[in-house]
Amino acid sequence: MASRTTPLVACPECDALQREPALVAGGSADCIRCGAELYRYKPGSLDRTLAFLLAAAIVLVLANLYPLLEMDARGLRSSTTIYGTVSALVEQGAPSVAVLVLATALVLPVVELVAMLYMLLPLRLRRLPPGLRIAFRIVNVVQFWGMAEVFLLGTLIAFVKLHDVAPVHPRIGLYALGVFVFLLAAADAWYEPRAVWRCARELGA
Amino acid sequence: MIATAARRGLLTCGTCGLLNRPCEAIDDARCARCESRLYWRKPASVVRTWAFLAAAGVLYVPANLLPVIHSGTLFGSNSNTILGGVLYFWRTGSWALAIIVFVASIVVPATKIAVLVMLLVTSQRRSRWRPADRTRLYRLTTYIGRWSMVDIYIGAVSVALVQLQPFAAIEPGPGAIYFGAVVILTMLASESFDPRLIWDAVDDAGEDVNAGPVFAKLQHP
Repeated sequence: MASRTTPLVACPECDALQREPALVAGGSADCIRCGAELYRYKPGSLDRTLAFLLAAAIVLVLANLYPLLEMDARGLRSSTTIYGTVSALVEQGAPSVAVLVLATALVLPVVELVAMLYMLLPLRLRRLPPGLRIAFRIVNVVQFWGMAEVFLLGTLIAFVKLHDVAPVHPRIGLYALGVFVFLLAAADAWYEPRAVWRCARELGA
Repeated sequence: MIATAARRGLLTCGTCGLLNRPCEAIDDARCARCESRLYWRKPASVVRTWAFLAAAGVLYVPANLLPVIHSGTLFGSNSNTILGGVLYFWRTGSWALAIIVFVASIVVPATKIAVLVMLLVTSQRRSRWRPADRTRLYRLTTYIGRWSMVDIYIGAVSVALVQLQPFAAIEPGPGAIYFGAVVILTMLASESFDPRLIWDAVDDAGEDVNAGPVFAKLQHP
């Protein structure tokens, strides 16, 4: 088993050098020293990630086109979309907060979705996308900085809180955002970076 | 004594995890697979982490003292700080929300700064105290930091929705951007810290036996 040709892996958190065991479906290899997960074998990773991503792309459009919440104060109505929160912050004199919200709640989740689709869709069709390495690195950064799920929690809390001002109703955008967060989390959970490189190598990268 | 990548002269890619054997020009080594820059340890990890933490610590004061939100109605107006928002939920009976916001906005940033300071001090003193637990604490810190942003989003949605002039309006307060900056800076701080520094002290203290690498722990689903 422990032949000299077994691939090696180093733990990114404690640097322990270890041999890579062969994994069964759904199993993982954990660091012998600090317990960090080194990698996991997710069968059908490419197919499942893509399925969740494509569904997520559809609901993301709805989440951005329709209002999240609507307030009804005896005939005075107001509603907001995700982008509406950004423009309201600009109008109310807080452009830097607006940029923060725009980047973390809107732009970065879109970039994550687009970069993952750009990478995985051609690979699934057995083509090598140009700039695969750059797309991979973008996904890696954007997964950390995109905060759609935190924005969803914030919207839900505001929904409860603002009932004290006037009745607030959930709208299509809120449901779509909820589904989007769930689908993106599922896509992230099925995403296996090693499957990307395995597939790229088969295609001659 | 355990085998490490550094002792064997191998570089782990921080992006894709591939183990690289560098050629001579190590200053500008790039990963053979994803072409990210390769480093033995994250560059200037300790200095950068301290710098981000110091900035976060300074901005933590206005973030908590200045109001993050102004709300005005026909009957008057008031300003709420982060803590004021928590107390508002508490007084109006939304205890669950009060606890969520209190943890996300006050406990998490403060704990995160404290934990990172502890990790920096112990690794600079080359402590060998409970390295596995310190690594676990680091992992947890990195994961929960993002949730502090929830307060910014509550404010953003409130500002956008409550524009019912002249009856009621909510406006962002000057504290909001400081608070957002604290969240971003603590995230940058934990990204700059390299948990392998915790283990370098352990490895340097052990005798240099040339142990071969063993298999990673196999976990079944």
